[in-house]
Amino acid sequence: MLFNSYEFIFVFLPIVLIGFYSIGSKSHHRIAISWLVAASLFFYGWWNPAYLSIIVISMLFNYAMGTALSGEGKSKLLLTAGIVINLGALAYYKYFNFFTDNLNALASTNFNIEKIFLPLAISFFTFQQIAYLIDTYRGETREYNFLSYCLFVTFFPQLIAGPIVHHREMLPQFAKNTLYKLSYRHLFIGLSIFTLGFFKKAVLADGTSEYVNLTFMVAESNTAITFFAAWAGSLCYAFQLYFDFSGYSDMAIGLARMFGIVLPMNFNSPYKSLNISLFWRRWHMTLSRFLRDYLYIPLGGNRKGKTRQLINLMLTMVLGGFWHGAGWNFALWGFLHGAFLVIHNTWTQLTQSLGIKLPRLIAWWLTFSAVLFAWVPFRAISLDGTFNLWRGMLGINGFFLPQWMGKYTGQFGQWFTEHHIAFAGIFHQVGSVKLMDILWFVMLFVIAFYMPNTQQFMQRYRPVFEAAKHYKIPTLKLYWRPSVAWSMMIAFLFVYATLSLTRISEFLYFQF
Amino acid sequence: MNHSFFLYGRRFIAFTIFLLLVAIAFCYHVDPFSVYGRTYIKDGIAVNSPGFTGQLKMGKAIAIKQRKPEVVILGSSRSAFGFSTQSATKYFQAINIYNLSYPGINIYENLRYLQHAVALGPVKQVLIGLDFYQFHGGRPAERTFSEERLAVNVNNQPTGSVTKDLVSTLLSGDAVFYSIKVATGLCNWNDIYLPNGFKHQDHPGAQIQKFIGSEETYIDKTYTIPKFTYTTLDKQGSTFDYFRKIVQLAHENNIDLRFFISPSHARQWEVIGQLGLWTEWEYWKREMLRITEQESIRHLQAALPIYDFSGYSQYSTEAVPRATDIGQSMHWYSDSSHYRQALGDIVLNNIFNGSGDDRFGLRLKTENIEQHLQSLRLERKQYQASHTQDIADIEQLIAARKKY
Repeated sequence: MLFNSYEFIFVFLPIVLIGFYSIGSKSHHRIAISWLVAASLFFYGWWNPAYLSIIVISMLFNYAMGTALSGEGKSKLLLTAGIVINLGALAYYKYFNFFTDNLNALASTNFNIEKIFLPLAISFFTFQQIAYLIDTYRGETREYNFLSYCLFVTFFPQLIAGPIVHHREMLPQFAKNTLYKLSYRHLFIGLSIFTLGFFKKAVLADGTSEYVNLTFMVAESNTAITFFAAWAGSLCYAFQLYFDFSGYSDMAIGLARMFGIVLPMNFNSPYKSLNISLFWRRWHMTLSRFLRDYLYIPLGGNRKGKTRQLINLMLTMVLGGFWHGAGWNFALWGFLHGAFLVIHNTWTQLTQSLGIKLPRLIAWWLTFSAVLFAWVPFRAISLDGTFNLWRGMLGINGFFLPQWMGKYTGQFGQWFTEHHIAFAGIFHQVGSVKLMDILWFVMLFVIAFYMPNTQQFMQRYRPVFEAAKHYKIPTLKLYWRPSVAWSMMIAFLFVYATLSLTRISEFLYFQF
Repeated sequence: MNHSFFLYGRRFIAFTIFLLLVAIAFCYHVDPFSVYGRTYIKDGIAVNSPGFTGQLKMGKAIAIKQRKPEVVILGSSRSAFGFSTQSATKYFQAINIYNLSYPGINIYENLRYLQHAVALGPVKQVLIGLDFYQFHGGRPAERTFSEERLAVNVNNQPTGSVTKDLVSTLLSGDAVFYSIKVATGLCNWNDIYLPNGFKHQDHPGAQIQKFIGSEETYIDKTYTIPKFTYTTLDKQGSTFDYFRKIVQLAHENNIDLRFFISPSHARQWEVIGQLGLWTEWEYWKREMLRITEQESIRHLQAALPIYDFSGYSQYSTEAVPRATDIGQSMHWYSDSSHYRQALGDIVLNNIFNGSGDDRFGLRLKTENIEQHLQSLRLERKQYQASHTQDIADIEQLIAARKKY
């Protein structure tokens, strides 16, 4: 069940909310928590009931480990065992096929392993629980009861795609008595955040997917993709991914809020960043935080000299790349970001001593285009496709210009042909692009770069765990408030997004 | 404080319900896909709403549920545009005929729509127009092709879902969008379908620009992106498996099913040849024949016929008017791929009244196929020798593609 589906929004969610508050208001707090855990497991099992056992075993195992680590039996060996077993399970489900495929290719062996299907969200719940084990070992956790722990792991708003929550943020919230009484305040703040995310996902992101799919399919075929089509494709993908993922995070944050729970911020207008290091503090923030606290710092962080710091940065990013999926393209993506961070780090050191500062526009453009180039392997199916699209973006594959311009080349016609410039229509390879598509693109651009983000709109009502100073809108008076105008606006966005859930539009590309 | 949130929530719910109801009422009233019985009048006859043209996969699937036809025509735009209601009623015995073809259909979708029609109605006779591109397994299914709106799944088990149609036609952004377009008259009224799934009008005869435009699409995309392959996207099988399933379905339900290979213009075969796909094209015909004969033995029934209209006939070699031939247009073709309804009539006549020996509509058999394929190779050479300008056009299109 996806958040952006009829069955979730109109059936599952209302039932869970009504159930939770009717049980909770009668002071049956433990039953109310059990209800949420059961609902979350049902939500998880909806995809594939077979994987329910994996998450339940993982939860039982880690809770038992945590109990052992917090008591007398605290030992480094036990912690190591705990981490190894968690990572082992992750490695088996997520990377085993990848490993055998590569081994077969490399050593010309023929291990025929049956395809292991990836249990949903295993990367997320594994990470959350490893953090829990480490902190328990460090003595940074309090005694948590088993039910609350189960809810911490399975709580459906954040279970599938994050934000990756930290026990320190979540478990104290579950212990509050005020949680169980229906609060219209929380309910409708949550619903409004959810709707903003729903709109981003169902309208903005899904509405952009078609062009992206097309571009990347062309990139995978033997066709050299030309300059403008390549840029348009990668830009659209950057927008699609941002609106998709940040929209889904907003939906999660809103859903949790309907139950009175505040989740951590996950996106903070990342594409507005002026350097790559800031980008990583604003994109998938809870993952960055996890990688920093549980990988980069334990590796030594910046405490062991400059060279070690740069190596640590690189290592963290490549592993972070692999976390996204078992494939060389993800490793390449991580490697690129590692390289960007290394360059930025060195550059900062160099320029600070010289007192040079890049103009804002150039700094922004450098950062954004680096991110854009790196998204290509993240989305492409193969390395060939990646290189094809990169060549296109660099202009090596030539340029297509609108047909009407071809009439005015005069005596330079030959020159244009020699320089791989043809007048076949800018997007010739990917089909026709209409005025509406261009307006749509401009709208995405304006929203991503100039509009306040969800947290900023909602800033008066503590939408996320972090302090509001991180995401303030300085001058605009657009704050969300429970006013008539905002209720109409949110209703409109909700209906628009609901109507967009079913798309029947025909795809005009391959028609004849 | 809590009270202001309560009021906010109440207003939100009220506005939401209001907007949804307005959307539903509007879509129902306009009925932009002609699924709630609303037809429009054009040239004195009842036609479907122009929105239907934009959503053929949905509109035709729903029409089958409502009309339960005895005769079904399947295939791509070539079959969708090339036959008139008059021709169809002349050659088919039944009255309840539906033209289920739609542009860009592939062999899998042909199977799925046939299963849909067979599950819902007393289908007795079927005609399927086959095209080489339909067997290209590398093309991902178009997002608009929806399994859910068909009556059975690929294993012929009922799906029993009706909510999808309701939501798509009353509560989707597309339904609202098309309703606005139809209500405000922004739709194209020259591209209209009849309630029986046939085109309202024949397509106009072509001139050279139409040919080049259509060939360019085949050269730059259809046959080449992604690289042509019979292997399906999931790598689990080949597109011929779907063809086989169609054959089996017909045998199991005693359906009089006839296949025909579309009579596109000779330049279309030249495109296939120059892209280096001629051998694949021959293999395609052999393989289909092999499958029909294999299944006929397995079912102890006569083999389903495949009539081959591809090749070099007096029709397919019709001269294409050049830019200098002002005022001229073609009699048989509306572009390199699509034949006009006059030729569609001859196709139906040769299928239903012919002997099957005519080279235009030759019934493929193990005994004649090799001879036939060899003749086609020879005829291609002759065509190339006598139509140097046409050949040069296609060479130029292919060269333009390779450059980038």
